[in-house]
Amino acid sequence: MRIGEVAVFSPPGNEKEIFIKSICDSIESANEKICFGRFQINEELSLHLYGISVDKDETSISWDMLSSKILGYVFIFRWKDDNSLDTIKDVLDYFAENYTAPIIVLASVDDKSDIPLPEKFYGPGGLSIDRNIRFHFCQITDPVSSKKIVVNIIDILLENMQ
Amino acid sequence: MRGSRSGFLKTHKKVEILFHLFHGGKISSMVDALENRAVVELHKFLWEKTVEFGIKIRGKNFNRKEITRKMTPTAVYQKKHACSEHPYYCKGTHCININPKCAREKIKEHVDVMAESIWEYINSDD
Repeated sequence: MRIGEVAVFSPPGNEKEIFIKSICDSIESANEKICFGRFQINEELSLHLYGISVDKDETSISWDMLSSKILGYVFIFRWKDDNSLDTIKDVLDYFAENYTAPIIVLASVDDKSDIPLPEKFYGPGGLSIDRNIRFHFCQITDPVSSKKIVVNIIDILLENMQ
Repeated sequence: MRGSRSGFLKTHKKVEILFHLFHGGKISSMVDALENRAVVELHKFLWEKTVEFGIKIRGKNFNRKEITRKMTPTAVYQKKHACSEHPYYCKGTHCININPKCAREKIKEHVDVMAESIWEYINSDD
C-alpha cells in the first residue's frame, strides 16, 4: 500500500474539516486543532489528508516536524474575510520559503457566484503565484471543486518530473 | 526539503495583491508598506499577471502596448520631475535605489494601470 500525504491548513473554524470531508467522505479522527481523513484511490494507493488549524502568532507547533514526504500543502482562507488571510500568512511564508512541495492557496467561497472572475482566468491549474505555488478559488462544500485541488497538486508534481 | 522561493516579496504579499485586486482595491495603496526591492517585485508580478490575462483574452493579438500606452510616457514623466537621467534609467530597477520617492510614484501609476487593464480583460470576457 502506497500512501500520499497532503497537509491542509486553515484559520480556526471548520474549513479544513469541510474541505477534507468533501474529498474523503468522512473525517476519521478530529480534535480542536487537527483532523484526519483518508481517500482510498484503489487497493494499492490511498491519500491521507491532515487538517491543521493555524492561529495567528502560532508558536507552539514545530512545523519542521511535519513529514518531509508530504506531497503538497493546501492553505485555505475565507475569500470575504481578510483577517483569515492574515491568520495564515506567517505559516504560508514559512512553507513557501523552506519547502519545495506544491502549495495551493485556496480562497474559499460560499457560492461559485462569489468568485469575481470567470474560470478561464484561473482554472483548472489556478493562478501561478510562484514556482509550485498556485492560487485557486474553491467552494469547499463541493466535492468536485475540492478534488480538483488535489488533482492540481498531482499535476504540479508531474510537471516537475518532466 | 529546503525551498528556494524566497524573493523580497513574500508569498503572502502576492496573495494579498490578488485579494486586493479582485476585491477592486487600488494596488498602489500597497506600495508604501513595502521595501524597495519588494516594490520592484510587486511591479514584475503584476506585469506578469496582466500579460497572462491579456493573452487569455487576446491570444496572438495581444500587444503589450495596449497596456503601456495608458501609462505616462517616460519623456513626459522625466520632464514633470525635472529629471536629467538618461530615459533608459527611468524604471524601478534603477531609480528605486537613487530616487525611491520618484520611482515609487511611477510604479504606483503603473500598477494601477495594470490592475485597470486586468479588469478590462475580465469584463471583456462575454
